[in-house]
Amino acid sequence: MSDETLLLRSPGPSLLNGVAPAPAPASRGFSLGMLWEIVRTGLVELWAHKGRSVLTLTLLMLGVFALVVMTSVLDGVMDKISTGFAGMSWDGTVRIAPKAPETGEDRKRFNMSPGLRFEDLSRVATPNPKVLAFLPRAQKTVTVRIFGDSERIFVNGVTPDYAQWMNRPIGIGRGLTEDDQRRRSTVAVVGATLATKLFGGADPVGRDLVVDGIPFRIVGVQAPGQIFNDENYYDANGILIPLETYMDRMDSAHKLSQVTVKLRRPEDMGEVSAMLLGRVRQAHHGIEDAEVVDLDSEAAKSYQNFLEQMRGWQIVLLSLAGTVLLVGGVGVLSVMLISFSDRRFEIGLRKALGASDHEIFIQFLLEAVVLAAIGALLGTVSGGLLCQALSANFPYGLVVNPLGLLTAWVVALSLALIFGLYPAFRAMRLSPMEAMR
Amino acid sequence: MKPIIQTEALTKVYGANGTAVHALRGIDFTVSRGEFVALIGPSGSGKSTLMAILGCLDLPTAGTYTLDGHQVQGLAGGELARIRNEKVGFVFQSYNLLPKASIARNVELPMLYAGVGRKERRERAMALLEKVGIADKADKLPGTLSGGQRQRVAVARALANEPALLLADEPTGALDSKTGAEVLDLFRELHQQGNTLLLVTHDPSIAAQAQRRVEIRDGLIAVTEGVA
Repeated sequence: MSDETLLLRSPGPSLLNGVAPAPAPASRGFSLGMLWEIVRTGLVELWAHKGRSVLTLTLLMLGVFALVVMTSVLDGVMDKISTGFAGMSWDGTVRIAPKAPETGEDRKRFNMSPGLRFEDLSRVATPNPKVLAFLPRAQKTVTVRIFGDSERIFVNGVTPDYAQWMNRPIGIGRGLTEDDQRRRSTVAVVGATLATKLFGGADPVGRDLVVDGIPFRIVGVQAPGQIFNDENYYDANGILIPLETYMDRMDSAHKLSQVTVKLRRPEDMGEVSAMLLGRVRQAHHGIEDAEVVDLDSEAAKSYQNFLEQMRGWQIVLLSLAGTVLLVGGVGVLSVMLISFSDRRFEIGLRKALGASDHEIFIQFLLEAVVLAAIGALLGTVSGGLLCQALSANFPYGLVVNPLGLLTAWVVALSLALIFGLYPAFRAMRLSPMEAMR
Repeated sequence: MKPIIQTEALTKVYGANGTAVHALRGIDFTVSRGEFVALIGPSGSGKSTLMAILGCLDLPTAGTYTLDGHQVQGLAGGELARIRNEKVGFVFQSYNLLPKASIARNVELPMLYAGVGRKERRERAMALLEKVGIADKADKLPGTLSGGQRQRVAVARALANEPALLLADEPTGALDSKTGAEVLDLFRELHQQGNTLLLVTHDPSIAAQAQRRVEIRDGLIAVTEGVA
């Protein structure tokens, strides 16, 4: 086929001769079309060199992934713990508890005291205008048999007002009453976790639970709740029975594990604590084998502790994610430098065809950003998916922290820009003559 | 006729004082609109340097160069790129197509840098491919085409912005004689349609196809044959 015939085939005004209409006025400068061309070229380049692209993408992805998951999980944990601390409401609360002997001397002296007992209550828990409630508690671990299985449960002797003051709402049935207390009834309120363990989803109210040979009639089940301290755990995994019943049937020594005291005003704490300590000492023949702990400040202290730990973790995790991102940035640098050497010819050609220096510069820079953006996108998606998967473990779910996400993207893209500058600059400076040689 | 190329005392010096290489020593050269000129010379004669300057890929050290009425000497990089984009169409010995872009995209490339819209770019690229007889290959990659076909794509690309000057550097150097002859036929056709062509070659038989032959030796115009 000759060229003449090829050329003659084309009808209409020829674009090839001098009289053809001039090209449309060129709106030079940066256009959307050019942007798309650059992104497209970038993607084609990435695809053509999958190995090195994947390596860099993985690093950037991991960095963003780590930042997203980490900030979100830290948020979730903070939510969870803060909710827990708030839920304890230990504002103006003290606790009388047996003191651990510090020396052999202590041990000997403490042995001469009967310890914190039910009988102390008549001395210690006398009505006081500054005290709202005395909440004594006794506890032991018992193995129960049910449906042929044996299960270790906590038997907790408490007063009827315990549930109200300690925020243990009832889920099914009723709580302990003064009537139960007076009659020393063998009734029990089952903890939520234990109820699930023993009875599955069935309603256990009205059934009997035999503990140490004593049948307890189940009258209620506690509502499930978050577990933030030991008592939460004991109550959820055990039963609450009237304190008097406990003393009669479960423990002839009448030991108390603690007495929680709710004050009317937190300011009275010092005064009331001293008074309580004095009474306990008196009851124990002058032996100070119990201590009074300010639960609010204890809680505040442990909350501070927790916050500090979280800050520590935050720093560790941020540094890790930052390092990974930085390495990813160096990866971008090397990929773009290799790309630059590989494509010297292409750069020269593009320049010969009319690309200006700054268009080439922007092309290289944008390619680096496209690379980083893909990595960041993959990291965001995978991080988001992981957050969703973990969501069930947190009280308010696990929402991707927008600030963490933003930080991750800004860091990833900035690193790409910074590390993309040098290759872009070199590409820009390349003379078309040199490149095409 | 109004000249497309006009140079006066064009010189180009590479390197510093001690090791300076005088590639061009004062070229006075004119190409009129619609001419078909062959630039010949052995390697090292300065013809590649002259081609680079005429193609606005490089700037002269001294002298003046006017391309289609535009002063080229002393232009900044961005302006030079623009003139190159609008006024010059290159055809290279080794085709120089982007291997990862389709034929149509390759032809569109100069229009992209000229800021032509996407739709018009595609239409013009298709029209040009039609002219050079390979419109059916528009979506193929250059690697799937024969040498002759690739050089046709390169010609279509060179014509994309309807340049004032078509600059071909050994366009048949990589082709067998039959395909080379076909490509030369294409150039003659373009010339007949009014395009201005400057063909750089070292092969006298190819240069013989042009209207006028200009020979360069040691950075100077040695011989001019044919009619202006």
